[in-house]
Formats: sequence, C-alpha cells, structure tokens
Amino acid sequence: MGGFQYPILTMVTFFPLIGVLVLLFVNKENKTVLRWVALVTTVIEFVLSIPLYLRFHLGTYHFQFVEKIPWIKILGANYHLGIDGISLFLVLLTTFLTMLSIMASWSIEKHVKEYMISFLLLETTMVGVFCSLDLLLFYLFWEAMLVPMYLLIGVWGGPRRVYAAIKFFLYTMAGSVLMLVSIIYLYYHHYKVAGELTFNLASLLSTPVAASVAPWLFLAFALAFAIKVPMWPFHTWLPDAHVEAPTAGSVILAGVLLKMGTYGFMRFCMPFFPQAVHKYTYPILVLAVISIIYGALVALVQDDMKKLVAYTSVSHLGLVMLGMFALTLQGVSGGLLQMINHGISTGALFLLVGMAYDRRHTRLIKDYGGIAKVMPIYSAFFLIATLSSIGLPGLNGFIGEFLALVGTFKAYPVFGALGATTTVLSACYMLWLVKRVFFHEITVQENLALKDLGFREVVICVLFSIPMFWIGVYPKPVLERMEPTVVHFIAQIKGETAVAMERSPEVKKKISLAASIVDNKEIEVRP
Amino acid sequence: MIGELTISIKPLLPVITLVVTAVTILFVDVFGTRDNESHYGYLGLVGLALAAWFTLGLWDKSSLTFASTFITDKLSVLTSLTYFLIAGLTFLFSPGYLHHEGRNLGEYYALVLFAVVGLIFMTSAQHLILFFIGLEVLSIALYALAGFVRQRDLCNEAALKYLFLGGFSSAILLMGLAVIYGVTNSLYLHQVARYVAAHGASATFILGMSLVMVGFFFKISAAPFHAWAPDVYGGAPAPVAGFMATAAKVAVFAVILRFLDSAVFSVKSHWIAMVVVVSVLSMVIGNFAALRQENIKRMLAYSSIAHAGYALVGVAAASRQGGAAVVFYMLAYSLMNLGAFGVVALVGRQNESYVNISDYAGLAAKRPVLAAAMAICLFSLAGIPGTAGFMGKFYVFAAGVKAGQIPLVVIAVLNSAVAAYYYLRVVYMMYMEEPREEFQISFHPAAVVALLVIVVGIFQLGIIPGSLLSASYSSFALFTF
Repeated sequence: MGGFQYPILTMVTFFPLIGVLVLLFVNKENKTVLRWVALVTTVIEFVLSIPLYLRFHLGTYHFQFVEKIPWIKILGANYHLGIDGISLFLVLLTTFLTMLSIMASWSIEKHVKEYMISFLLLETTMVGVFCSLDLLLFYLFWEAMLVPMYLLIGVWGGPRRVYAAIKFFLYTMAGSVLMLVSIIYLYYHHYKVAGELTFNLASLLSTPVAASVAPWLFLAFALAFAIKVPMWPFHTWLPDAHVEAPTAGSVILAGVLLKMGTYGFMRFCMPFFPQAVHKYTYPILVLAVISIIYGALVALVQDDMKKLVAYTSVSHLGLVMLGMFALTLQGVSGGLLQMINHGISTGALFLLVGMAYDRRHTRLIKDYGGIAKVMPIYSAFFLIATLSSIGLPGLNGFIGEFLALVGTFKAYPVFGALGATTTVLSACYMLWLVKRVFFHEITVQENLALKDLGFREVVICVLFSIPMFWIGVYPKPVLERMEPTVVHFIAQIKGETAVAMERSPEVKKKISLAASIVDNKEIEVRP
Repeated sequence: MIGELTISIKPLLPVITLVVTAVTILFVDVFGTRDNESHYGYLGLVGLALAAWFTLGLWDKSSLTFASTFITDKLSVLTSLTYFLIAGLTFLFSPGYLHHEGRNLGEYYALVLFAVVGLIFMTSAQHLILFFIGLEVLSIALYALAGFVRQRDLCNEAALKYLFLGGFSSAILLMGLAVIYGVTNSLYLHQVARYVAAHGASATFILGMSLVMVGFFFKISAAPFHAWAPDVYGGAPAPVAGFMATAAKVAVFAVILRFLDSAVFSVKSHWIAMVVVVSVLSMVIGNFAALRQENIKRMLAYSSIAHAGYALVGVAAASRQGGAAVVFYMLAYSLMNLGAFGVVALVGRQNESYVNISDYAGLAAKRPVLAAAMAICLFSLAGIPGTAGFMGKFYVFAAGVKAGQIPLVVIAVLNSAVAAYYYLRVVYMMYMEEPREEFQISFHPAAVVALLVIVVGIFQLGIIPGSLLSASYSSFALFTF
C-alpha cells in the first residue's frame, strides 16, 4: 500500500531511542527531568502511532505502511516493516501502555535514569516485534527484548526479583532458540525450492514445507510462542515474573509481552504450517482449556492481589488461544480483540494494584478490606477494570470473550462449553477479590488514613478507561480493521486462495456482515 | 594453483614491519630510559597500523611465494587483520595493567608482536612445516607472556602448565605430520591432497590426519583436549589471557579450515565425524563447567571452550559458508572476549585481587560505564541479537543447517541457552547486587579507547554485519568447499 511519504513505522519503532539519547545526557540526580523526558517521549511516541489507525486502509489484508530496504545483502535479509489488521492494534496497545507505564513509574526512586532507558529500549523492541516482516529482523527484536525486561525485573523488582528475572530470561531464550533453527530451516528450504535467499515472510510462506518436517518445525515455533503466551504447562515463569516485576514491568509483561506469543501463533506458526495446525488442533485446544480453568482456579485461591491478577492472564490467554485455533471468523476476531482487551484491562488491574502497593507496601488481600470508604475514586476505577476484565456487557471484555466463545462453540462445541466456564470463574475470583478488598468494615487501622488517588493517578485511570468503554460500546472501527486480515488468515490456514475470495462479491458481503459481527449473525467463512 | 614459483617481497612486508617494530622496541628498552615506558605500546600500535596498511594492499592480490610455501589470499589477509586488531587492543589494555604490576617492559610488546608474526606464518602456510614453525614462534612467545608477571605464583604455574601441555600437543601434531609425510612423501597441502585423491586414504594416513587434528583441538582448547585452558587462562595475566584465548584460536581455526579444505577434503566423512563429536563435547563440557565457576577468569576460560565448540559447528558444515561463518565468528568472539578480559583486568586491579564473580557486586552503581561495557560483552557472548555474538552464532548455525547437521545445531542452540545463565550471573552481580566497596579503579585512558572500539565493533557486527560477512564469504572463493 503506497502513498505515504514518510517512513512512519520506522519513526514509531525507533523514536524511543531518541528519548534514550536525550536521557543519556541528563544528570542522573535530576530525577524529575528524567521522568519528564521519558514521559514526553512516550507521549510523542503514542501520538506518532495514531496516524497508523487513522490512515489504515479498510478492506484489505495486505500489509500497509510497508518499508523495505536491503539490510544484510549476502543473507538476503531486509529491513522490512509493515502492519496489517493483526498488528495494528498491538502496536497501538504497546505505545498506549508504555505511556501509562511511564506515568505509573513516578514512584521509582532507584536508578531512575537506567530505569527509563531500559523502558524506552523495551518499547522499541516491542514495536519492532509487531512490525517486522522479515524473520531475521523479527528474531532480532524478539530476543533483544529480553535484555531490558530482564533488567527491569531484576533491578527494580520485588524481593525474589533475581530468581524471577533469570527464570524469565532462560525460559524465553530456551524456547526461542529452537525457533531460530526452524527459521533457518525455512530459509534454506525456500532457497532450495525457489533459488532465492530471503527472510521475507511472504516469500517464505509461499514455499510450503514437506509434510514430514512440518510438524517438527511447527512444534519448534509453537514452543517458543507457547512459553510466551504462556500456555499451561509452560506458564511457571509467569507468576514469578509478574509478581516480582515493578508495577510498570508487570503492565508491559501482561499487556504486551504475552501478546507476542499469541501474535506469533497468528503471524508465523499457523500460516507456515497449516497441515500441522490441523494435526495439533485438538492438543492445543485441550491445553487452552486447561489453561483457562487451571489459571482461574489458581487465581481463586491467591491471597496476594498481584499474584491473583497474574494468574488471570493464564486463564484469559487460554481463551485467546481457544478462539484462534477454532479458526472461525468470530473465534479468530474474538481472540484478536481479546488480546487487546486483556492488555488494557489486565494492564489496568496491575496499575491499580501498584497504586495500592505504593500506599500500603503490601499486596496481601487480608491487609485491606473496606477501603471503598476511604478511597472512593480508586474503588470506582478498580470496579470498572474488574468488570472489563470479567466481560460485563458494555465494556470491552464482553465483546472479545463473547466472540471467541461463539466462534469456538461453532467449530468445537465441547471446547466452547468448557471455555465458557471462564465467564463464571472470572466473575468468582474478581468479584470475590473486590468484595474482600473494598467492602465490609475497615479492619486494619492503617487503612483509615489511606489517601485517595492523586491527579497523576486519576489521569492514568481515565486514560485506560476510555478504550474500555469505547471498544465495549462501539467495537466496529476495531473489528472492521481486523476483518480482512482475519478472513485472509483463516483462508490461508484452511487452504483457500484468499485473493479469489476477496474478489468474489459473496465474500465482500461476508466481510461487511462480519463487521457487524456483534449481532452474532451466522457467518461461515467456508463457502 | 594461484601463482607460479615467484619470490616477491610484498607479501612479507607486514611480517617485516612487525619484526622491525619488535626489534626497535627491544632496542629502546635496552638503551632508552626507563621512564618512557608508555611509549612501547604506542610504538607497537604504529607498527601494527603500518602492517595492517600493507596487508590491506594485499586483499585482491593472491600470491604464492617462497617455493610455494607462503600463500597470501583473502583468508590470510582477513585473519591477519584480525590479529592486528587483537594485538592492538591488547596493547591498549596492557600498559595500565603492567604498570600496576611493575612489569611494563618493552619485551612484553615485542613478544606480542613476535606472536603475531607466528600467527601470520601459520595462516599463510601452504607447507605444513612452515605452519609448524609459525606455531612454535607463537607458542614460545605465549609461554613467556603467560608467566610475564613473574612475582605471582599463579602466573608461573600457568606458564609452566602451558609449556608442558603445549609441548605435549605440539609433539602429537608433529607426530601426525611425520605420519602424513611418511605416507604421502610431501607436506605441501596440495600434494597431500593429490596423493589422497589418487590413492585413497589408508588407515595410516587417517591415523596421521587424526593426530594432526588432535593437535589442532588442543590448540583451540576443544574438549576433551581442554584441561589446560582454565588453569592457563585463569593464571595468566588478564590481558595475556585475552590475547591467548583469541589470537591463537583465530589462527588455528583458519589453519584447520585450510588443512581440511586443501589437504584432506576428499576424506571429509572421516574428519566431519571427529569434528562433530569434539564440537558437542566442547559445548557441553565447556558450558556445564562454566556454570559452576566462581572465578571469572576460569568462567571465561570454560566459556571459550564452549565457543570453540560453536565454531566447530561451522567447520563440521564443510562448506564455503561454514568457513566464512567460522572466520566471522572468530572475529566476533575475539572482540567480545577481549572486552571481557579487558574489564577483568581493570576490575582485578593490583595483583588481580578481585577476580571472583562476587567481586563484581554493584559495579554498575559505582562504575556504570565499565559495567555497561562488560554487560554488552557478556550479552554478546551469550548471543543476544543486536550483538556480534548473535550474528556469529546465527551464521555458524545457518551453515550447519544448510549442510544438514540439524541435530548438531539443535544441541548447539540448546547449549547457548544454558550458557546464558552464567553470563547473566555476572550481569546480575553488577546490576542487581548492592556495592560492597568503592571500586577505586584507575583508568588508563588507553583502556577506555579499547573498550569503546570493542563496544562499537560488537554493535557494528551485530546490526550491520553485511560487508564483513561478504568479506569472509569471498575469502573462501578459491577453496574446494
């Protein structure tokens, strides 16, 4: 897609590095300036990413805002960026959440300079992951991201931060190195077949691999992404990392990093090996359902608020996986939308838990109780985030959850039914949490003196509430941007030629129908 | 072949320059006053720069001189430039270190230059005796360097161990050469190749080749011939350890490639099996032993064993790309390893009193720049994308996959995940522990320049490696690979 004169994706990807450069020249004692420089950088970064939304062409699954220049000629690697309906909102989510995270990091007092630098580096690598259309470039961002996150958890985290940081790093790295071997295999396979050395996603996709190798390559990719998602039983790094990370780190971990797993499935793993997807659909659905139920049950028994929220991620991401692997229009759209929703609502919950922790330096539920009386504003926002997370109609969570479940139910009724337990279970653990923390009498004396939210915190809360209501009430702009990509994605995996589909008037009708998908009309992708 | 029997002085200009520089330094040392000790390093750097300039002029002019024993091709040019870089960085790190130990003497610099001369002869040799002479020139210089801080017991121990084991491995190598000569009646690489092509490989020949390979494996400290490395690298002065761990490895890897390609390529099934086994052993033993080290020098020594294993994956690929990958990998490895040993030298301070990993606690809080440089080197050693270490590993593994060595590559990548743990442990010490001391480290400005060069190099090779990858690829254009 052309017509864009300036390299907008490059700017969005690398703008945070300019902030890093500025930060390098600020005295490390001057904490206020450091914070403001970082905040201004992330705000500009967010503003820079808005045109991606506004100028995004509807009705095409092709990549947009594409930039492609040779990078390492001898390897055939290109600096190749572009976004489609899958990555658009993930990029926006990243810039949005990073901005909120910096705002929430005002309470960081230790090594502020290094903290802000790590955060901005992290932002560049995250946006890079979502924009890369060259597999080598993707891998570069994917792995490079570990370093700033490792430092964020390890330096600014809680008491067991070092253990958590190293566990996070090693788990992710161990998962991704096998993916690297797969990438290299695909690269040479393409070379053998097509005689061209390239890491270009589209080119590699055009060369299917032999059925005997595909499952192995699929598993190598799937392991890397499943660890990131995380799917049960690869989830054990998550509670440690989320709980020990500083608030903003948890927000980014839950909000963005986990999405890289599901994004990876959609962008690479599934389109590359459609046969293997069919072969492994059932095992993955089973793992997804286990993740949903297990995550929810474990969340139910937590006595630490942050840990509780952390486990809800396992559950929610299980639903995303369920929707994606159901391979129906609603399922995939719902899964995709749920990625965004989960980013916003879980990010919000981590931010809110962080605000409480800043005041009381405890996250144990029993140390709270009845604080709705002393902190009414805080309680109101917490309730909004809670309701968004458990999928109350009118808020964002509902749309995504509903679509994903409907989509799954259509293809795999049993799994849909099992997945639907999430609605009940999430209500249980979240509402019970709200009840114990906010209602009843105040039992702990210190809580009587709690101050309600300050201006900065209210701004944060208002900001995250906006997309919750917006997607909840009027999801069409989001869904219609995702739609063509989702249709194409499903077609890719089910083995139809998407180009032909896009041309046929019938499909056009379907796309428009799908845009009003909230009405839950019966839509079949397969003709 | 590449050229006729000609005698030309041009290919030898770099070597002559280095020898003249080294002798000049020795003379200045004898006749000059002792207080201008810092000039030796500068003199050495000038010599290296001049030699590098002469070498660059040889890039596109392959030649074979001195009765076809001395070859100048792109491989030798590229590796020579790597030696100059390594020696130059060593010169930048050494003055501060040696000054602290009261051993900043001219012969140190002269010895390093002589070692480089030996390295050049090794990689340019088309005749195995010339290679052996080069190896001995290198080794003798290294024996002396390893024990250079003679008042320190550990240093003497390292030198003695290195002497014994180096002599032992040289003897094995020589034995192998003798057997090969006995079978083929020649030690010219191409004549050996011709003999093998015509007569096939007899059991005796395979024995000779295996002995030579074992000698090589000793020199690159590949397992199971690695036992000397931790003691020697651990005991030798840190800048020397850095030099030994990098320069000698670059050279021997180049020699391995030349030998395997030019002499015994037709029996590759035999040596590939050997290389694969040694590669796996090196990676596994190196990495798992490194996990348990408390002394950072020993940790780096074990890590260098593992890195020899990774690079051997490229050798096992037995392809042009594999060769190019090994050359590139060795350059990347040299940069990051020199950087790490350089920081170790600085943090170790007088008499290397602070060489435990726990001594790095809180370095980032007190010495942020030094800690950042160390962290970059360590992340590069761990193979994090964006750094030279990743590109090197990537290229080596890619060559392995292309050659169908997929199980080997899988073992290698899993090993690199294990390795991340012990590199991260140092990062954790530096960044996540509270400082226990003030880190009163006096910087010699030269060391700062060296670290800067290394960090820039690591990122350059990690992010825009194109030109260097092409150069290493083209340096194998005339090979059979």
